[in-house]
Amino acid sequence: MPYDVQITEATPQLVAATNPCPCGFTGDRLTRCECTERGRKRYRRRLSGPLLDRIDLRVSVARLMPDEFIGPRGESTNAVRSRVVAARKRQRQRGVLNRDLRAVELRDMRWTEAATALLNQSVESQALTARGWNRVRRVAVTVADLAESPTIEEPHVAEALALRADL
Amino acid sequence: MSGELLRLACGGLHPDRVRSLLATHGTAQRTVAAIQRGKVKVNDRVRAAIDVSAAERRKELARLGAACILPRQAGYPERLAMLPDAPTLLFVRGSIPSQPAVAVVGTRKCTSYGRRLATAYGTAIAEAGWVLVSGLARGIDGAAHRGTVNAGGKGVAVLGCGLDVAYPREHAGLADSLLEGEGAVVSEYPPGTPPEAWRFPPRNRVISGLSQAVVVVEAGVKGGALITAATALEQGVPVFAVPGDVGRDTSRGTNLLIRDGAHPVLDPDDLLEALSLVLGPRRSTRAVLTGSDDVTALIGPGASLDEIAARARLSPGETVALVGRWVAEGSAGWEGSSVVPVSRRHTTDR
Repeated sequence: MPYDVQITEATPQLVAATNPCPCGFTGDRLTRCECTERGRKRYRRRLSGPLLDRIDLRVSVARLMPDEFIGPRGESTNAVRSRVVAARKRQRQRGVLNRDLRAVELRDMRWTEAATALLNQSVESQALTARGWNRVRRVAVTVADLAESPTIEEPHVAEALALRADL
Repeated sequence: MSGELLRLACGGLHPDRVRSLLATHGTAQRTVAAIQRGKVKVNDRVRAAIDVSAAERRKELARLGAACILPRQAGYPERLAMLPDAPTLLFVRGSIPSQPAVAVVGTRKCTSYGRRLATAYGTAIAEAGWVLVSGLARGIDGAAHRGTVNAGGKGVAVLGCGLDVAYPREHAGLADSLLEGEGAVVSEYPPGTPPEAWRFPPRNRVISGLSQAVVVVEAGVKGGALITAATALEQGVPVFAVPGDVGRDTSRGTNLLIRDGAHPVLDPDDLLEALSLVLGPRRSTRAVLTGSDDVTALIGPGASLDEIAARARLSPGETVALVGRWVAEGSAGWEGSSVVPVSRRHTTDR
């Protein structure tokens, strides 16, 4: 079947949500998950490893408890926005946004010894791919930028690792 | 073992039939001769299998690294030999360890809760210096074996099919790990025997027969785990069960067992405490809970980021970093929105 291929350059941002299991209650505080281990495995398989590997931030979100959405409000989006804008400005001043940092550029950033050690440890314990490793490092740089830190320190790497939840 | 007995053993006859034929004819030689003369009716497949020479069978077993042993022969566990329905023959890869053994069994359709418990029990038993026995099935069995392997302990898997049949397929690596850990994989069925449902209940008597205690982690009202508990009872082996929600299918079996007199166990330490009365003192007193201490203290069986932050009195950023460190060292992982402890060594279960 003949068809035309059009290539349009784009830098999309993918945002997606999923349940942890068919019933959605794995790890929930109020409702017990009734899925079997096999059912959960089958469900997880629908998101392939290579696809997940390309998703930088994978955050597990717990159910909000009543006092959390009725109670006092947390930090406003506006306040967070100003930090994000500042972080992006830092990145532009350095050259490119962190998303576009190449491996050599990542290597030459100012990592503390402890940060590097934690990264090296996680490569093995998390069975990181080369791509995954680069992606964790980019996120760690971003965490450091948000903290206005000129060096990338161990807590920044740790935070980046925690933002890579396995499903 | 005589050549005729090995030929008979690998013929694919039901073990009960082999036993009764041997009783009728006295020796394996006479039994094989009677089959060849047509005095004993067997189907063509069995006849052809029995005609295969003993030398050929020995080669086959050697390829598998397996041995075929008889009761009262070296390597055949004494406990098992004493059973009235002891397997006439046992095919063994590796060698069955001589230390006290404990079985951990349960449903194939387990919950992640049951899986985690089974792994913890498998680890605790290994760390006490005892041998873990189970059936290498999916679910609880596999998780218990995994716990033992992770702790570097010895385990025995009892199969309901031939030793050369990888069933379930995803546990082939686990079986190899058991062998590497000086454990064993055993079956009363000859190589080549396919996994068929009717062969699994009889192997449960071997699981309980090899063990000084049986722990049922999760079980429905029907299924192999309750059969194992029943054979244990017949054999005078104490049965332990992990209690669960009364309305939950995967705990109905274990709750029934407790109602009927099984000892309830609440955690691995509880079990070790009770077992050391039966088995004598445990070897080591190492902590049996998996994961590093601060992990266990802060998250228990599992906690959300918010709960960890509240307990540790940390800011959200610090909490996330703490979890990241645990993840990097492999002591915690995610389960939905909860952070849960992970057994010490990295598993390749997914």
